[in-house]
Amino acid sequence: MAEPVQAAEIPFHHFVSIEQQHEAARLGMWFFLATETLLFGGIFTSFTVYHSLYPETFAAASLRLAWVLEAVNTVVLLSSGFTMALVEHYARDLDRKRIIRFLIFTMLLGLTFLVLKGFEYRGDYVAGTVPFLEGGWHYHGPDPARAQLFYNFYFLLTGVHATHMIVGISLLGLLLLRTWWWHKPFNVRRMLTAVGLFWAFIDVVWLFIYSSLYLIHRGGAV
Amino acid sequence: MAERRQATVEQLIRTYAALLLLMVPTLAITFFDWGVVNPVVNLGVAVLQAALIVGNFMGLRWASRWSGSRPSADPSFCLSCSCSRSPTS
Repeated sequence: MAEPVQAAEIPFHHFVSIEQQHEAARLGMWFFLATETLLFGGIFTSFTVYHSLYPETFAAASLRLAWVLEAVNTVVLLSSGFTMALVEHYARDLDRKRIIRFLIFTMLLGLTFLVLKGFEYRGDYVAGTVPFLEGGWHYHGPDPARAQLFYNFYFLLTGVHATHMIVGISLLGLLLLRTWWWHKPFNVRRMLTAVGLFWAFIDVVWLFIYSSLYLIHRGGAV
Repeated sequence: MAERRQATVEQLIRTYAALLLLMVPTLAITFFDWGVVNPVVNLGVAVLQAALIVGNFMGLRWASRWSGSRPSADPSFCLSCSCSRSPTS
């Protein structure tokens, strides 16, 4: 049940209404996500070029990745995207209790993703496939020099993605406090919408990381 | 001013179910070695899932071309902030 808003909020003076202010924030977030797309797009393009140059080496390295663990992580991340969409939905109704509930779910799912990612990184270190760490590289597959290139891309893509996750979870934590406090609910709603867009974008990026890095060479080799 | 539409909870649930269902072909195809079909299916499913997320979770499906409110037709309103409207009005 939505809680009544104590007093109508006044938009910043250069907006006609709270709704217009909300839409401006949304548009600004879409512009930011466009720049993020350029960032990830650049990395994916580089990966694709090197992948086409050394397909056998990249295939051998890709088959060593923990694809089952990351399948679980994909489901976890999709679930967090769903709970965040519910947060946005209830934010529109200013339903404080449900916003708090689903924000907590989203944060927990995000943290679960990071913990599982930590297990994967630990496995990589044990397997000796961390090229940039002292003593972390003892790869026994074909063409170790070029396999390093694959693992650099792997850690770059998953690392940048995980960094975005950490930023996202931190923002969700701040918004949880703001929602708990419930001062200026329309402002909270605007921020929830912006962070919701960011979170969904993280989901989308992960889907392409999972398909490109983990599954692209996997066939009949379970 | 027209209210911007948004996905209902049922639509969000259906989208989530579709996203999970699309994981089935992604994972199932790893059991078969169909050459170039494997990456095509994987990336195709990823594109479909991304479209579902962008359309329903990010609300693009529900946004009009220039969604939300537009500046008032009131001639006293000025975008350069020298408007007659006081910030507290």
